[in-house]
Amino acid sequence: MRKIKIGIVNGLLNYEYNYLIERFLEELNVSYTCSSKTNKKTLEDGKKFLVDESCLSMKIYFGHIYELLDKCDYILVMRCPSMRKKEMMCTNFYASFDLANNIFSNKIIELNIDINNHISLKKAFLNLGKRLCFSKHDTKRAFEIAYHDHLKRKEKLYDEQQLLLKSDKKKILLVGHSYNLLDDYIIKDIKDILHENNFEILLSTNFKEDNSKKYRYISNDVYWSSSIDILNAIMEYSKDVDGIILVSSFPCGPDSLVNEMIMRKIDKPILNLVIDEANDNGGVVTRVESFIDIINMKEEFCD
Amino acid sequence: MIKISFPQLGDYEVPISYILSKCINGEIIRPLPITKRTIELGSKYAPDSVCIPFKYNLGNFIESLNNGCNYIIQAGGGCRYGYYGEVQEQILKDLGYEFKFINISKNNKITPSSLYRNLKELNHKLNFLKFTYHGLLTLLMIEYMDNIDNYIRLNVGFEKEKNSFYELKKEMLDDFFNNKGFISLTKSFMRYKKRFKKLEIDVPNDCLKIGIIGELYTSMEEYSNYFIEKELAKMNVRVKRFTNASYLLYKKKLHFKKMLRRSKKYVKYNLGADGLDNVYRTIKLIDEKYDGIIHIKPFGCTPEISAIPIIQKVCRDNNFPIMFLSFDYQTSEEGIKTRLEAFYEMVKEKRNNT
Repeated sequence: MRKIKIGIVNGLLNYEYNYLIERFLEELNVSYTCSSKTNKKTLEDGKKFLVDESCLSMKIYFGHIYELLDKCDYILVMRCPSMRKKEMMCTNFYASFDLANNIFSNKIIELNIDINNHISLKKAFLNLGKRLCFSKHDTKRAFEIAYHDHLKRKEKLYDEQQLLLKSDKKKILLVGHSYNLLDDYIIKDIKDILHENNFEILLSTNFKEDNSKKYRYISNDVYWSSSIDILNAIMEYSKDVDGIILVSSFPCGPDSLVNEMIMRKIDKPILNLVIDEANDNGGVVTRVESFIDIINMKEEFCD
Repeated sequence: MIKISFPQLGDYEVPISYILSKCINGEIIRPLPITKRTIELGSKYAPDSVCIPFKYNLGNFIESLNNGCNYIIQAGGGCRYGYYGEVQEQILKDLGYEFKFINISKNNKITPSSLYRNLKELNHKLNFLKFTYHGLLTLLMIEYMDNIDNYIRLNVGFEKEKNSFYELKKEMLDDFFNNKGFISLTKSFMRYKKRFKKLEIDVPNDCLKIGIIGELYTSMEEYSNYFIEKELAKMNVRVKRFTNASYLLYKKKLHFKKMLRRSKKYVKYNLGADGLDNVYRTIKLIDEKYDGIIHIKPFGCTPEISAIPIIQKVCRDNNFPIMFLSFDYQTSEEGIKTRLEAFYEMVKEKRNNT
C-alpha cells in the first residue's frame, strides 16, 4: 500500500497549532508537506474562490489550500468553533471545513475542535488518528508526546519574550491574531521599520495562558477566545511598553469591535492598522513611521 | 422615573414595547423611525469597519437619548451581534450621555432568565409568574404577527385598492397591543386574518415567486434593505421570507437537525449564525420551484460571507438564478433598484423560456 501524504496549511489558526500537528504526524510516521510561505500569488489564488468581502486571512488560507492540491493526498483543515468552554471563535472558523470541502471537493479532512459540543483538542486528534486508520493506543501516545512538545515550545517563546522585557531599548507591543503577527507577508514591513528605529518588538501571541480574568478590565462581555487572549496579553505587557500597534486584517469582525474597546480603555499610544488586500506598503510604512515619531516626541516632552 | 428605549427592528417595536410596558413601571420611549439622520449619527460615532446594523442601532440610541430616555435595552447573539451592547455603551458614555445600559445577551445568547433578571432590577415588584405570563403572550403575539406578515408578503403585490394591506396591518398591531389576554389576542388574530383574506386581490396565474434569504437585521428592518419587499411587490411578485422574530426566538432550535439533514450534500457542520439556515433555505426554495432567490446582508457580515460560496454552488448545480445584495452606508438606492429590475427581467425571461 502506498503511504498517504497529508498537506498542512500555513494559515489562520495553523500558525499556533502547526507544530503540534507536525509532531503528531511525525510520531505516527505519516508523511506530510507544508504549504510555502505566504506570497503575492497565494493571495491572488485565494481570491478566486471566495467572495470579495471575505477577510484577508481567509483568502490567504484558501490560497495555501490551492497550492497544496497537487502536492498531497489529503489536506488537513482545522474547524474550531470553540476552543474553550463558553467561548466561541469567529464564524469563519465554523465554516472553514465546509467551505473548503465545497470548493475543493474530496481532498479535505477535518480536525474538528468544538469544546461546547464536547470535542476537546485531545478528542479531535483521536478522531483524526481514527480517520487515518491508526489504533487508539497509538494516537493517544502520539498526541501526548506532541502536546507536551507543543506546550514546551510555547513556554520557550514566552521566556524569550520575557528576556526582551529587560532590554533598555524602547518597546512596542504588536497586537493581533497569530495569523497576522506570524505571517511575514503581512508583518515584515512593520517589523523592519521598528528594528531600523531601534525598537524592541513584543508579540501578543507569546503570553502565558492562565485562568485570570484580567481581560475584564477592558471588556466584560467579550466571548471570542482569540480576542480574550489578545486582551490578556495587552493587560500583561501594556505597563512595560511605550506603544501598542493593533494589526488586524480587513474586514475582521471581532477586531472591529474589540479594537475600539482597547483604544477607549488603554491609556497608551495606540496605532490601529488594518491590512487589506492592496497591502499598500507605502501607507503602512508611513503610518508606522509617524507613530514612531510620536512616541519619540512624547519622551522628549516628558523629559 | 424610568424612561426606557430599545433599538428599532421593523414592526417588532409593538411586542417589545408591550412586554416592557407590562413588566416595568415607567415610560416606554419608542425609537424614532429610521431616517437618513439615524444612520448619519450612527456612522459618525461607530467604528469604521463594523457592520451596518451596529450603526443603525447606535443612531437609534442617540436619537432616543436626545429625546430624554435614561435606560436603554439591547439584545444580540449569534455573530458579533452579541458583542454590540458593550461597545455601544462605551461609545455613548464617552459621548457624555448619562443613562443605564441593559444588555440582555450573555455569552452571545439571549435567555428568558437573563431577561427576567434584568427586568427585575428595574421593577422589584415583578414576579416570575407575571413575567412568564406576559412573556408567553408576547411570543404568541410575535407568532401571530409573523403569520399575518407571511400572508401579506405573498399577496400585497396584487392588491386592488392601494395600501389596503398595510393600513389594515397598522390597525391590527394597535389591536394586538391592547389585548386583554390569550383569548382576546387569539380572537383578534382570527378576526384580522379573516379581514385580510377578504381584501380584494387579483393574482395572475403565472406570477413570479421570489424568495428572500440572508442576514437577520437587513431582512427584518425594511429601511436597511431599502424596502426591497415593497419594490418587489410593485413588480407584482410573490415574496417569501424566512427570517422573522418567531423563527429566531424558538423555531430555529427546533429545525436545526432537520436543516443539517436536508443540506447534507453540501454541509456537514453548523456554519455559524444563520449560515446553515440559508443553505437549507436555498435548497428548499429550489425544491419548491421558486423562480429566483435574493440574498441580502450588510457589508462584511462574516457568517453570510462564509455561506455564500456554498449557496453559489447549490445554485450552480441546479442552474438557479440568485442575486447577492450587500448593504452599507454608502449603498445607493438607485443602484439597488436597477439591479432588482435587471434581476426581475432575467427571472421572467428564464420563466418564459421553459
